[in-house]
Amino acid sequence: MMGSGQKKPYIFLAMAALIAAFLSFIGNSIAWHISVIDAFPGMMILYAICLAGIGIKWILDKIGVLKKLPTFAWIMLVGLLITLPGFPGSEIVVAYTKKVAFLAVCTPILAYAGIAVSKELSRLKKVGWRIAIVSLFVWLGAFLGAAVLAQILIVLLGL
Amino acid sequence: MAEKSILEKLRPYIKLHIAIIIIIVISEIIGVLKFKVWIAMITLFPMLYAVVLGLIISPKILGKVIEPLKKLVSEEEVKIASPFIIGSLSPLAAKYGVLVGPHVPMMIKYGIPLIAQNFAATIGTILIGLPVGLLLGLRREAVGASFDICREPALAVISERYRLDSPEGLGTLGVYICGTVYGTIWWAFVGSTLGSVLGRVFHPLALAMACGPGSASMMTACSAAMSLVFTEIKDAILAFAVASNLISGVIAVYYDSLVTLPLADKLYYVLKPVLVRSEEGKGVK
Repeated sequence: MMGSGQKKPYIFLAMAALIAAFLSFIGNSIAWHISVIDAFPGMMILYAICLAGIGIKWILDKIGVLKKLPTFAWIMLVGLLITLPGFPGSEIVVAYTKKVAFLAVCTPILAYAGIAVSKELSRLKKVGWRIAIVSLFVWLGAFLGAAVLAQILIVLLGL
Repeated sequence: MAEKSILEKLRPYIKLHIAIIIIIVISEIIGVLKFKVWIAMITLFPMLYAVVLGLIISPKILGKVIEPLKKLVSEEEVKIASPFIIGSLSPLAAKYGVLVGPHVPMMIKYGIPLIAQNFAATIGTILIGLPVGLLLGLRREAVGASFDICREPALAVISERYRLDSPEGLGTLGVYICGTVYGTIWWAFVGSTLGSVLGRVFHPLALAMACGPGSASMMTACSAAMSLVFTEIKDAILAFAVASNLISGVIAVYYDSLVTLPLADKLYYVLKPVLVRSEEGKGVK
């Protein structure tokens, strides 16, 4: 069942990424009214970045370097490098990938996550209402703590 | 014969994706919704409906009641869904990369607040989370629940210091599970409401950075919601949230074990006599 995912993890990842890229077209055209034709080049650039990142991870795993860094980090690094101001062709990459709405790329992830997380519902029942309420305040505290210090520093530094 | 067995093998994958397509189409048709509640703006968007729809069509909820739904999404489909999350994160990683790249010069300019605010986030979790936990009747669990936003690094730190089945560990694990189930929804709520309310006084980029301390999906939900509030600079909002998320991921384990966990532990003994004095005689555990 999950054998295909474990035997050839890189190929599985590349295929799952391709499926997700196609699923993103749904949202891109329905909610953001960007036609599939307009979004296609940008989506293919994003997918090429994915393949480059997966390829880097594959090679590094083989030679046993930086094994702790996840594929996600390598994909992001490739995307970041080729869009740095001054990188040859960076404007073209930025212009095309703008046609792929950020939110449209997120929807497939959360659809999978919703189905997968349903396993955790029974564990959630055991957590208890106190922790469930505290969790909301813990996250709120994280946001406020970070926002307040960032704001103070931005004002102090005159940014 | 061989062909049939391949089809049999693919069946749960096809069924899963029929369900996924249905969820996405419904979510995207509903689209972005904005509500004004007093001075706050609450923003709802497709990824939130997708996670809720995914949860409720599961065999544990609606599948129990509606027979055809259980046939489409059974325990087997639920099991094979997880590996696809990592796969579908790849295009998002690429999108993040191309969002951050053009903003790198701007990030260097804002480097000090961008890095420093991550250290304040976990102080915020303790200052708010610990007293609330104590007032609600938690004891040592409150220390584990509040010394971090409780994602994977926190689980690692708490299990090494106290074990995961200690009261402290159960506090961390509890918040972790809550985060997995409804963390995205709450962070989207925080991102849109506090983004719209505090945005009148705070620098939008300060608020964008503050979306960073949680998991990647919490940060995504928070910054996505906020990008719908500050539409003119939406790319910068997303880029700064991503950068903050990366930095917090790098510092989490070291900072948690050296600073925030000892701090939460100390503060517990300071706050407990103040906040739970009245219960002392009742012999509460």
